[in-house]
Amino acid sequence: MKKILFLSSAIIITFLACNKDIEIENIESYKYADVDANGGSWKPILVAKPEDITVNTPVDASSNEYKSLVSNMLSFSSTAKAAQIDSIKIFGGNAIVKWNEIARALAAKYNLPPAANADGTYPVPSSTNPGVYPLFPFANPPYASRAFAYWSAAQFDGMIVTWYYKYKFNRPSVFVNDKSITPSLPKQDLPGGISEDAVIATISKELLTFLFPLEASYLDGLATTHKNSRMWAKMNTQDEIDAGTTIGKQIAEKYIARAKTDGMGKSAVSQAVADSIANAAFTKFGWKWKSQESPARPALLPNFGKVKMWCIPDVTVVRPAAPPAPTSDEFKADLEEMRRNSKSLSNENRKIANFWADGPSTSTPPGHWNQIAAEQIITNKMNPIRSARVFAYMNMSIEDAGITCWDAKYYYFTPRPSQVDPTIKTWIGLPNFPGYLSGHSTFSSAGATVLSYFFPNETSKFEQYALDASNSRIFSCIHFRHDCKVGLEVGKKVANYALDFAKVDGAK
Amino acid sequence: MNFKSLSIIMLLFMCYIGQSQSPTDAFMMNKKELCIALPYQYSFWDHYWEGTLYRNNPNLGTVSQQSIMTMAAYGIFDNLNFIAALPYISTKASQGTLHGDKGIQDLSLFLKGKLYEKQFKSKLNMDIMASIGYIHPIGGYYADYLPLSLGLGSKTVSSKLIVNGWLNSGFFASLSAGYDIRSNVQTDRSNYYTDQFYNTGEVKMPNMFNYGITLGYFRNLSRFEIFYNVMDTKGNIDIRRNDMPMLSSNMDNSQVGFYIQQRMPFHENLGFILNGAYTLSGRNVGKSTSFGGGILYQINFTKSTNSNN
Repeated sequence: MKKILFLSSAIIITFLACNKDIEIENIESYKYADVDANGGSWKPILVAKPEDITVNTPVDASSNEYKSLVSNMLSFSSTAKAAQIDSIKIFGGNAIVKWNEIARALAAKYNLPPAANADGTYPVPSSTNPGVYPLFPFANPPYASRAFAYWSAAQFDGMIVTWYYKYKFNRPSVFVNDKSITPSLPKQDLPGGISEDAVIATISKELLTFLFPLEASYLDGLATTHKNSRMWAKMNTQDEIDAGTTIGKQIAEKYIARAKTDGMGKSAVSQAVADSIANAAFTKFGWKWKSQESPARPALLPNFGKVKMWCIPDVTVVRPAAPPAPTSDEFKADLEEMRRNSKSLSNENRKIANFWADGPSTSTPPGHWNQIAAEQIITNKMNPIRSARVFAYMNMSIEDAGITCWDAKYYYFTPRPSQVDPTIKTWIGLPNFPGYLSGHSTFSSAGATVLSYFFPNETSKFEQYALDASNSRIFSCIHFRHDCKVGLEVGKKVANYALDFAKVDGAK
Repeated sequence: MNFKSLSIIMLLFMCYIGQSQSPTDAFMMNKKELCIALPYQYSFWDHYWEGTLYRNNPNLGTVSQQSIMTMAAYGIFDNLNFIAALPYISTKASQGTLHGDKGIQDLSLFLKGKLYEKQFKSKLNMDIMASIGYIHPIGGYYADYLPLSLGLGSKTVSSKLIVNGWLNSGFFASLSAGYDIRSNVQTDRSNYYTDQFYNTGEVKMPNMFNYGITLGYFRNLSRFEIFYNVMDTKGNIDIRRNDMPMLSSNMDNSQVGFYIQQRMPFHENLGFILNGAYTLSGRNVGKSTSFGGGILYQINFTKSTNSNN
């Protein structure tokens, strides 16, 4: 008996001693595979040419002023406390990827559909009154796709401008100028003069604050810490930080100006407009989508399909043909498949359905693809301008894919499987908008196509991911196979528009 | 049922089966006695607590769960019992599009021992019991499917201390307190937000403290109990407004219930049980009501050996 008691206590203590904390792993800092010295000549997205962004010529490295900047940096660095030294690691691995993760975190945090009012209507988040429930924004997949696109295109422009001026001024890095200085992060073969980290932090703070206004002070704190971390790490002097901030602010302004007029503000519509969309589809095709939620919730962002695109002149050039008619053999076969999957689903397929569910309180399907891109960027030890380029083209094409998909959803306004046959139950929550095209299929195919261009050796992996993401919707019974199949085709088509730009932007 | 199907220990709470079938009750099997039981339980709720907000959800309607459990308890010694249980569970939402689920949940293995026994005068007996168990999800079920998942999917070490007082008249009272240590759960998702962003599918599981009081009467072939139990998950994550519950949600509740066990006069090895529970308060759980019933069968290997001789 005593032995048993002893053993039992030992088991309990062992279990209690287990550390269950989920470690937030920092990206280990690395020496860039390449510095892309010609990056300043690459073609930016929104900025016409680097000189359109202005920054003062930095003081000469031989000047007394510079010497005092260095000594200030060294004394600032010597006072760094433990938490501050941690921040060097947090942002020091790959600052673009770190801020991308912060953006994904915000998307996940704000990805919750508003609860119904007592009278059965639904409140709408308000950008002018973001703090009143429902909090602004509701970061649904279209909103998130747009947020990632703005954030990353701006970063890419920011890096091009930074590279341009870095090489133009050609002031050596702190540690090159003074060999006695050993920074806390790997020495990169880049000129100093401007802190690329300050550009990244400033653009991130400004754009994410615009997109997630309630996070203003949180983002401000992060950006300040990031900038300071560069001085604590003995990587940048104050004037380099300030020059980066100047560049970042000008870039962010241009992007915010575009965002204010891209049509997103009109993507939600009144009930009258929603009804007219439904009736137009019914007249044209003989069907109309109906909300399966109770109380019936207005469809998500009917006019997101009218939002300004990045790489495609007009959404109608990529609009797919009509889905198969309900009387067609294809439709009947796809409906049967829904009934089968609803009846039973293999563990393997359910795993795929769950892994790619990317529903409420996750970073959304576009966020999932950013996570995939981030891993690939780190594996390839990419520098900031390369990292930004991958994110920029992927996210622009993912937003374009979202716009194309939403255009089709509201043009065709097709019912979901559970509306066609209410006995079809779903394995994940049913999204509250029309079926054709599958959003995840379109987003994923666009993401996979762009990533395959940047990382050609991984093409089969990305294509498999896109196929899994697409199939996940069929397995979970929220989309007919034709929604997904055409979604994959359209996503690829959309991405090729972005790649037409990427192929001639000056980067190899 | 709560959002989770209340890992087996809580099912046991509600079931309270047999003379010594539960790691949580006041009873022990004698040496070489085996009791097997087959309890069925139905529980349902149509309101739940989203954090502290008490609400219904027309996209779920009434969420119900049925379970059938195979249980066995065996007396290794008079003061040490081994208990095992394995439930099969099915869940369903009466409204909305979400699919119900069904399958085998968690295997639980418990040792329960009597640590101390003392007679006060001639009328009152006191004893102290402790149990320790290991609970292991074995059906490969999808824990990350709340509120319709079969269980929490966490490997759990469960411990409990029970103090009993017995009167010669047959009345008894038990006080119990327990602590469950739960392993993290690996879900299939790639990221999620609860109290912060998690860039992983791993979910940090809070441990759970529980306590309760039981008043009962036990004489000859009959046993009646009423109980009050509290589950206090040691977490701090509430379900966010209009979000789905997550495995790591801070699930608390208090319940009252009854348990009746009657063995058959014509065949004392055979018995039936009836039980029910009602949720008084909660947080991040459904306000569930449950009913159950089952049969049990007790075999004494010592006696049968003797009779064969």
